[in-house]
Amino acid sequence: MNLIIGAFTMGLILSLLSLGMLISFRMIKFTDITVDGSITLGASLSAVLIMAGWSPWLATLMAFSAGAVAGMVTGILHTRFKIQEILAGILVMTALYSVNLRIMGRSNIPLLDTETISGGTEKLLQQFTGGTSKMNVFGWPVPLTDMAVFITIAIICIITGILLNRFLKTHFGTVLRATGNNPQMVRAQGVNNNTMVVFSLALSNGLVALSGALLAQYQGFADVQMGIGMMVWGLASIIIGEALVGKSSLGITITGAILGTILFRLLIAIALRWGLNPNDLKLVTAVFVFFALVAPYMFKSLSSKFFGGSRHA
Amino acid sequence: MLKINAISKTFFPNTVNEVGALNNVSLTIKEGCFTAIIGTNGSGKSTLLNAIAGTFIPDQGSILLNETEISAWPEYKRASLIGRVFQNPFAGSAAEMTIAENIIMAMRRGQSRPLRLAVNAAVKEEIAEKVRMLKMGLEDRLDNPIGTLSGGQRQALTLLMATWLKPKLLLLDEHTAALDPKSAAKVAELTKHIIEKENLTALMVTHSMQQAVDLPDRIVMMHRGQIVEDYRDEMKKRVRVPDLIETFNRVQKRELFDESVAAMLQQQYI
Amino acid sequence: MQLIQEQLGKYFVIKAIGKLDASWADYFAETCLDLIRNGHHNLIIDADELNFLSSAGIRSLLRINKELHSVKGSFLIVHAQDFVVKTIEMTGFKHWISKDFPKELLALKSDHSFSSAQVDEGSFVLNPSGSLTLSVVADWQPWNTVKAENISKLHFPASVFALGIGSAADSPEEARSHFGEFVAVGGHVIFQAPEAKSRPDYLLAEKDFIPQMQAIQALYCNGEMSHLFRFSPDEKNAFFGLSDISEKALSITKCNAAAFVVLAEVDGLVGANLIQSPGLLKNNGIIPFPEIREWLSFCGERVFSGYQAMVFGVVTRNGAFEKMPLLASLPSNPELSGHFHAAVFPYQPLQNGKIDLIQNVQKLLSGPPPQALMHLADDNRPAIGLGQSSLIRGACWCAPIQNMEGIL
Repeated sequence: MNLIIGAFTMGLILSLLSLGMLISFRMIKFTDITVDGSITLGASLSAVLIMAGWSPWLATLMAFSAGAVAGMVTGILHTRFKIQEILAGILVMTALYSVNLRIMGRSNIPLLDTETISGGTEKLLQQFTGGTSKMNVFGWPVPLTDMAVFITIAIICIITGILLNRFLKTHFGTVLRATGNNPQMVRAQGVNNNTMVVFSLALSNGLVALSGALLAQYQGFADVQMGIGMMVWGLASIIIGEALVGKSSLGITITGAILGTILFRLLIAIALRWGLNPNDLKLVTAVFVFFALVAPYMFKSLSSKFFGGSRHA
Repeated sequence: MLKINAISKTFFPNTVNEVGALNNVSLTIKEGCFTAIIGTNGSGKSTLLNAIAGTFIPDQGSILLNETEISAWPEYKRASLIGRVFQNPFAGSAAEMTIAENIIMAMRRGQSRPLRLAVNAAVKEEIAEKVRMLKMGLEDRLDNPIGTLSGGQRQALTLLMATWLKPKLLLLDEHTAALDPKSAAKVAELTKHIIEKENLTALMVTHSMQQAVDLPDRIVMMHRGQIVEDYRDEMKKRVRVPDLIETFNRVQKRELFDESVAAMLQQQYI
Repeated sequence: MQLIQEQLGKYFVIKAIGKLDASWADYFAETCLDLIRNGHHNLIIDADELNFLSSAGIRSLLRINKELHSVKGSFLIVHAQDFVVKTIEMTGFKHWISKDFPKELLALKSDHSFSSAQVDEGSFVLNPSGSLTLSVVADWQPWNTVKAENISKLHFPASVFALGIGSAADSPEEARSHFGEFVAVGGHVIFQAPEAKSRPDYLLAEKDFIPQMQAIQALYCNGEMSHLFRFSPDEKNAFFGLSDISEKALSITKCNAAAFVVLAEVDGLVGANLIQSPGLLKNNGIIPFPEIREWLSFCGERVFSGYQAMVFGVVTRNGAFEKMPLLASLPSNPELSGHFHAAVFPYQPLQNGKIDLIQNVQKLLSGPPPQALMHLADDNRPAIGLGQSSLIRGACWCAPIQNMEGIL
């Protein structure tokens, strides 16, 4: 049960990353590699601030803002200076590596016995259960701390999801979605599509950094290497989500991204349990994403091979 | 009212690919006048339209719309005054978004985009009302992605979107050229209907000389980045397709009359 | 349906197999009209295997008959089956029907040694003493201003053939803004107002009306044509350049200065025409490029292929006389100098053999209006030159100019 709660919590935290990437990769169709850097930025900044005695909530908020700035820089590099999407992302990601080291002062900050954003929830739970350190979930004893984290993160995730859904359905959000679809049309409607790209990348990387801040607090450390491969994980989660529930409406797409991330974490947890070497994890993920990307084409050509001939008959 | 003053544009200057796309073009269009621009390929007719729309900034000259100098405005800013329909029927709408969402974006063309929910029942009713006018049955499919419609249907909707808020100027860039003949005729008819009903000032680039004769109030012919003929008022009423073809031939003949011809005729034309 | 074509002497036999109904009528008619255009004016339809004839079929036969009638050709239907005969008889064209081929053709048929005959070739002497008197109006020199004394009034009775620059306006002052090229044959004047958009107009001599022009330039010939020669494509020539026709006109009239009128199907014309009246010139002297484009229009490519042209020209052999005004040396044949104006009409077939000039010009003018009037030029620019104007098939009437020495 601990394993499942853990995977769920991890999934929920990373679903914020997926939501962020949903905006960049799916809404404005921007292949944004900044993600790998901005998730670490969120983690390192929040860790340093918490260590310095800031409120974990305030620290998390600061992490969001810092991520937004990073996304904005990528956006401006692309729109203002006409640098290709991927290159703009790589530039910012590379720069962020040094920035993150600067922020932390070293490559790793442990967060032991510090306050986290789930502290309040834990106190609430303690009052509720009468001071025990474990509570009963479907017959299993679960540490109260873990449960508190899970509940807090779940609430944050649900609120974020609802807000995002609501935001994308406003006049502003509608135009934002159209920007990825047809920038020419957006300009013809009197909207500066470049501004929309910069804004979207800011929002996207803000969410990614938020995810990073929560991750640092949950794992109990921030590491300068922790962002590597995160973009591929996020992409894999989004693809799983789309396969799971489709994308027939905005709400479903957002729900799909969250569920997809959780399922992805569960699959990884199970795989690790079965003895998958953690070092191979990223390779396996990459291969998975590869197949997920080419599967639609393979299906198409396969089906035309099998059924194409009979149509003529 | 649109007033274009001696605009010029050279693409790829000082290279082998240098193209003098517009050469000192001046044009004034009165309010409520529907003008067609015709010309050969590469004559600069679409370039002129793009200069007005703001796709690029001309090297020289000024563009006044509604007595406002707009030639330095970026494309998106001009959209507050200008409605556009493109040649590609897929260029004017966002394929993955619903018909209603697309139209709602056009309903605030050039205006602020508040953080209020865009689609609601009242707005949808308003949209359905106007879409019914197209007689394409689209009013029942407002929640379908616009990408599921045919090119003709999308172009009709794009036209409706471009004119939803009455634009100071409507730009039509060969907007029926990519459609099948039946849809093209329908969109052409719709164009005429909307422009007449709303008394719009419009500029239409077209390949179809028949369309140029049938629809607008005025025909401007371009060649090599210059306006070579301007049929208006009484002249426009009289002009027929063969007259236009003849004018094209005359313009091209003139083009072939070069210095070597002049030298030859000095010997031969006596 | 299937059409098998065979030339036998002066006749052209078309064996029609199958049904001549609405779906084949146009094909059948076009095929026959093409043959007529190519000079086959005696058509015989072998209807042995024609097993259906509808009203549409009858109509196509009528079209062919009408075309043949206009060129005084002959039309015959042989070996027709009973119901075809009946159908044709009912519509009142009994005279088309014949049981068998004409005797002379049967004789040809049995004699296998015959070869495809010349369709139309030959020359005819019309009036051995026919000749022309030339007057030259050349007081105006291109591109000087036009002075009042440069303008001459010309009359065009039926015996006049002329070309030049002039206007149909009454007074010289009115004419000033309307000077353009003209060509006159047999008293009929075709002229073009000098506007880029205008079509040629014409003055037809009728009864007592004698056309007049205010001219600033003219080659004006009065008299009678002496010779006629016909030309049509053969193995050697697919078409005939204007210099070839000029050369032939000079040789057939055995002189060094001749004038001629050609009625012929066009292969391609090359030339220029005024688009602004020289009467409006403000300064003397050559107009440089590009201003010249405001005054002259050049065809730019070989034009009016397939149309019918009426050309009048004056041609001289170089060296025979002093240098003449208004005659330019022909690069295609450096021995000759000439000046040619052409009026262009939609195609009309021309009868074979010896035909009358005035009759045929009148027939041409009573048809659809002229499309263009051009001063023909021999474009010898290296590599990009369009060459000289050339004609495919037609007739040329010519006569010697008798007073050549006199005018000089």
